[in-house]
Amino acid sequence: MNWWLVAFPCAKEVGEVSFRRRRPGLVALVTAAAPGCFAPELCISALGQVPQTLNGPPVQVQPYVSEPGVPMITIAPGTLNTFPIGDGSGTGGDGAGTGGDGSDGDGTGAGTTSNSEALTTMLGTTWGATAVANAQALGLNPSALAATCVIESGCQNLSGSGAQGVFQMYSAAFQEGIQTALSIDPSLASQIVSGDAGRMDPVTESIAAAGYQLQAVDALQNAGIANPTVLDTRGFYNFGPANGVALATADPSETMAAAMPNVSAATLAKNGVTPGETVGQWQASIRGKVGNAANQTVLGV
Amino acid sequence: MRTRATRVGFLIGILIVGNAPGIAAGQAKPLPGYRCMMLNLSEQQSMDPSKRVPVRAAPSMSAPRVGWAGAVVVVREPVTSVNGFVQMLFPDGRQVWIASDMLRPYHSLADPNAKCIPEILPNDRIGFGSHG
Repeated sequence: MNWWLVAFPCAKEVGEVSFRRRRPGLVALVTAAAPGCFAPELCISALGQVPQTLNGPPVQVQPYVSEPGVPMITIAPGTLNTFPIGDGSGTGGDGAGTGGDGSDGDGTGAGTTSNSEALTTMLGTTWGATAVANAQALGLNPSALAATCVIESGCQNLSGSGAQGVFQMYSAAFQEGIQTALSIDPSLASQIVSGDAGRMDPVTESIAAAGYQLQAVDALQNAGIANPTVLDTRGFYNFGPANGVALATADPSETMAAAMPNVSAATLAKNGVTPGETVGQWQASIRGKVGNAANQTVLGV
Repeated sequence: MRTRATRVGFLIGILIVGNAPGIAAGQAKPLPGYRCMMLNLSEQQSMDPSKRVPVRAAPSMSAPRVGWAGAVVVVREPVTSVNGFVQMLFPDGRQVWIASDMLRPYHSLADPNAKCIPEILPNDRIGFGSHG
């Protein structure tokens, strides 16, 4: 079924796709078969396209003759989009079944930062916008932070004897995260609820979670993983630095047991990994929870 | 007539796009001359956030530390020790060195039949799989 994934970038290259017609998949594929894709090198060049993020409004037409009855509208250049919309992870949106499935590796290490379903979920909370601003202040992709709260708690403030809060952090990790974040941006201290009680304050814990995520990025980068993605850091969180690196460098068809040879079957089972589960299937399970944030890079904006 | 043409185009699309060379871009490439080894750590150590195994720029304890090793290590074959260090490939492709006593032959605890064959992943990371 790989041709589905090939067809749509080609269709975009042709630039004549009518995705909203009655039979979108058929139209898209027919369009893909038309001029651009008869030359394989054009298909390859189309696949090599890099998603671009629009910062600020596009170049505006400057009318030198005003139209009667139409007010003059001025768009100030340089106004940044707060949450640039983009698609760096191979999502579809055409109704024809495209999208990453965990085995075709569309965003491994080369993802982008952009809007995401996870970010929408976090922004639906009372504290979400503040958490986004703090993530940006720390150089973190807000979607990566949002993915963590979605996967940990559904962005609900949960209490418990161990992990707590919207990011379900343990006390030690919480304190480490706070220290890391404040070392980068001391001004965030004014928002922090002091002590361990901060774990139940979503804004405070979001700062700690962002700091902890930066620690994961640092560890992965020091192990030769450039531009770690949300998926890469999940491996780090769940199985530690050494196994996190192994998961980030394993072929999706490799089993989890093969990718982490030091880890026993019992420990894999405790972490919800079934016998024979592949790295691609594990990644797909995370994608199922956090959507298109999974392949985005953790650093960004 | 338009419907027939559309169907023909659909079939051509499958035949041509389905065989386009771009598909191969998503496949890992073999990495001859290297083999997998693993860190000589216990299970608990391998999952410990504070446990890091350093890799160095040269085969010497005084050489600069380049970074940390992952649980699976891709080493040059045949494996030879220089001053107590073995040359390995970092995920970003750099040649680095790791203390030989921190390595042991690859063997999965959870799956004794598991294979590990070094390869270049589609995202250009040096990695491993079971097919090579």
